[in-house]
Amino acid sequence: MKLRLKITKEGGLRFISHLEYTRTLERAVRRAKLPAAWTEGFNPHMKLSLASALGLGIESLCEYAELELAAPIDAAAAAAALSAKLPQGIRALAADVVEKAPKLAALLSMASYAADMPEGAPAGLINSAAAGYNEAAEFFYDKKTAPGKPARRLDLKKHTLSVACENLPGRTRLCFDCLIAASGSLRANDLIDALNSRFQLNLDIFAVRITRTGLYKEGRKPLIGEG
Amino acid sequence: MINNEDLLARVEKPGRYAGGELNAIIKGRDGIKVSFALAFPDVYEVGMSYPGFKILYHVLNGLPFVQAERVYAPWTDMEALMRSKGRRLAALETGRELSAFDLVGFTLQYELTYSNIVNMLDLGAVAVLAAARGEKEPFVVGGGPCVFNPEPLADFFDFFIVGDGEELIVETAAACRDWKEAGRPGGRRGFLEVLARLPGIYVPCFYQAEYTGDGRFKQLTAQNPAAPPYIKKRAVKNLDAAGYPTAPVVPFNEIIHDRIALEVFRGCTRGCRFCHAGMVYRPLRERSVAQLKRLARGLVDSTGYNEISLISLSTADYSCLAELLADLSLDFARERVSVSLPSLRLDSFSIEVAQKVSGVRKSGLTFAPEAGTQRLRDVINKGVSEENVLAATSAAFAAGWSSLKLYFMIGLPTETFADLKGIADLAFKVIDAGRRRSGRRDVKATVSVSPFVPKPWTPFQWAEQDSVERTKEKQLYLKSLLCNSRALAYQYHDPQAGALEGLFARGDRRLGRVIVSAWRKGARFDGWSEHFDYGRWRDALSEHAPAAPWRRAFGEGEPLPWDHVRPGVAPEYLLREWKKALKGETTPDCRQGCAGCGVCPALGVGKTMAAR
Ligand code: SF4
Repeated sequence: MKLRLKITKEGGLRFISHLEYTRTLERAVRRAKLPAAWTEGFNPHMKLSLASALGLGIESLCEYAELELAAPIDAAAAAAALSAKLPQGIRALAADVVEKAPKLAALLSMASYAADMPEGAPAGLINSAAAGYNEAAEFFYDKKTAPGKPARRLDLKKHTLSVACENLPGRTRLCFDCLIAASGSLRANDLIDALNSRFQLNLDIFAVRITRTGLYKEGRKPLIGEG
Repeated sequence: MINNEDLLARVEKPGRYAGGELNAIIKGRDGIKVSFALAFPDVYEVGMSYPGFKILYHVLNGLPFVQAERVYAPWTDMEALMRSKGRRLAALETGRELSAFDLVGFTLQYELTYSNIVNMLDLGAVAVLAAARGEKEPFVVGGGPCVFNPEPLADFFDFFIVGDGEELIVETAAACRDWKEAGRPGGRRGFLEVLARLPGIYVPCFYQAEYTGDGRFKQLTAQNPAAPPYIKKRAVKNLDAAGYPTAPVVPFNEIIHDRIALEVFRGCTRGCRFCHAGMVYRPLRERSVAQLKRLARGLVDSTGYNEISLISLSTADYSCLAELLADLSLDFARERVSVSLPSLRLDSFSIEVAQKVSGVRKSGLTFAPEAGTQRLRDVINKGVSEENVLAATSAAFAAGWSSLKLYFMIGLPTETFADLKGIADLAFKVIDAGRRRSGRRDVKATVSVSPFVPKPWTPFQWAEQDSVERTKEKQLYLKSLLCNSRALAYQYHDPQAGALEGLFARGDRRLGRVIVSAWRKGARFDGWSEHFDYGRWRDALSEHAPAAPWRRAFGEGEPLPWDHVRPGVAPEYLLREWKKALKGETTPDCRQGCAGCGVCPALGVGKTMAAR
C-alpha cells in the first residue's frame, strides 16, 4: 500500500537539489510519525520516491511523492499529520492511498510550466518570439552538456508544440507543456534559453522565474484522484 | 524574506543563503531589546555543523527580549556578486545587516578563519578595527577555543567571552539591555566597563601590551580599574541542568555533519600533551543516561533526522556507554534511527561498539596513534601501545571493515627520523596483522599525517614548531617509506597552512596589522586549500611584523602573550607535564584519579561522571 501525495516546492526551497528535497520530505514523514515502510538490510531506507526530479531554481505546485506504507492509514489523516510537520515551502495539496500501482515515474506523460519573464523584459519581442516558435516546423537547440563536451542538438518541437504568452500587468508569462518520453524530456530552462538566443530577447536568464504547474499521465490526466 | 534573492540563481549552492529552515526562530519586533548575530567565519555547511552555536542560539532566543540570528561567510562567488552590487552581509532570520545588530558574536574555532572574520565585518559594514567603531555600531564579541589566545584578534574585537558560553552570554545580553534602557551611560566605553566586571569577560582595549627591545612580548597590563589582571574561564557546573536545545535548526541543504549532535560530555580526562581541546575544556562533566535519552527523544521528534551522533572529545570514554547505547537502540530501533560515534579510541571494546552502532557503514573508521614509536607516544602521553593499535585495527578488519585511517602527527617535540620510520613500520604491521586476523588480502589503510602545531595552554606551548622546509623533508621521507605498498595510501597536509596556524596560535597583538594586510591582499577561506595563498601572508608579515614569534621555542620563564586568559589548568602543571614529556614519563588519565591539573579547584567545578 502506498500513500500518494501532491506537494509543492516553493520560495527558498527552489534553491535545494532534488536529493535534498527528498531528504527534507523524509524528515517530515518521520516527524509526522507516518507508518513508513523500509528497505531491509544494514542501511535501511525509507521507501519514499518522487515522480520526477525538478531542476534547481524551479518552483513547483505539483510535485508527487509516494510513500510505501507498513500499516494502513487514512489518506486525509496522513495528509493532515504531515501538513502539521512540513517546513515552510512545502504544502500538501492532495493525498490518496493506492493499493498495487506502478511507480509514478513510469506513468508520467507531460509537465506544464509557467515562466515569468523579468520585470521590464520586452513584452512585444517575447510575444512575437512565442508566435515565431509556434509557427516553426522544427526548432533546433544545441543543448550544452558537460564543459568541453560537444553540445547535443535537440528539436524542441518534438517536446513542446506551442508556447502561450500571457501579458499580465507589468509582466510577461510564457506557459508551455513538455512531453515526457521514455527517451527523455525537455528542461524548461532549455526552452527559455533557446527562445532567448534565437529571438535575441536579451533576457537575464537568471531572473526568469519558472514554476512547474502540472504533471500528468496519459496525456493530461491528474496523477491523484483517478486511480 | 530571503536575502539577495535575485543573486541566488547565479551562485553555487544557493540554499546556503536562503534561510527559512525548519526550527529557525523569527520573532516579531515587539519586546525585542537586544539583537545578537551569531556569526560563523566559514561557509554555511561548516557553520551549521557546529554544535556550540546551536546551544547559544537557543539560549539567547529563549530570552524574550533577544532576537538571535545566524550569519555565515558567503562563499567567494557570492562575495564577488555582493561587492559588485554593493550588498551588505545580513543575517538569515530577519535580513538585518550586520551593522544594525547590538552584538555580533564570532566563534573562534580555528586560526585559519581569522581573515574571514575581518572580511565578514567589512561586508556587513561594521568597522574592522574596534577602535574605529562609532557609538551606533555593534559590539563585536568572540568566544570558543581560540579565545585562549585572543591576542592576534585584539584589534578587531570589543570583548571576548572566555569558556563555556551558555551562562555568560545570557549575562551579556541582559547587561546590554540594561545599558541601553538606562540611556547608554558612558557610551561604548561605559558598556565595556560593565562587561569587564563580569567574570569571564576580557576587554582587550583595557590592556596595554609592551615588547622588549629585541621584539619579544614583555607584558600586558590592565589600564582600567574595571579590568582584572587575569580572566578566568567560565565553566558550567552541571550539564544536565544547563539544558540542551532539542529543536535545532534543520538545514534544507546538505551540511558536513548532517545529523543530530548530542553532546554526551564536556572535557576530556586523558591528558594528551599536544591537545588544546583536552586542556581548555577541562574538567570532565558527563550528562546522565536519563537526560541523554530524554534529549535524544526530543531531538528526533523535532528534527526528523535518522542518525544521532554522540559527540564529545572522546565518546568511547563515557562512563555508561554500553548502557546508553543499549537504551538508545531500544528506543529508536522501530523508527530506524541509528546511533553513531564520531571518533574511536584504540581498544577492542571500541570495535564492538563500532559494530553495534554503525554496522551500517564499513567506512570512516579512524584510529589515531598520533606517533609512530612507543617512546614518542609516551612523550605526548598518548596512552596506547602497539599491541592496542594492532588488536583494535585487526579486530576492525575482522569485523568487516576493508579500509581504515591511521592518523599521525609529525614534528612533535623530541621527534627523530626513527620515529618517522616508526609510523611506516606501524602502518605495515597494521596491514599484516589485519590480513592474518581477517584472512583477507585486500585490507587497506590510509596514513594521514599532519604537522604538529604547538598550542597555548598545553604542555607543548613552549615547543619549537618545525619549519615549512623541515616538514616537507619529513613528509617526503615518509612518502618514500610508504609509496611502495598498494595497501597503504598516504595523505598529508599543507605545511604552510600549519605554519600560519602556529603563528596565530601563539602570536600576540602585533599580528592584527598582518591580518588586515593579508585580507587586503585577498586572503579569505585560508582553511580551504583552493583559496589559501601563503605568499599573501608572508608578504603581510614581512611588511608589518617581521619580529613575530614565528614557530620559535618559548623559554620556560618567558612571558607568554596569552597568560592572562586562563582556562584553569595551572601553569605549573603544564610546566611539570612539559618536563615529564621530555623525559618520556607518562601521566595517567584523571578518570583514574586526579592528576593535579588544577582546574577543579581553580574553577570550583568538580569532575562529574554519570552514575552507573
Ligand atoms: S583537577 Fe584533577 S580531577 Fe580535575 S580535571 Fe584536573 S586532573 Fe582531572
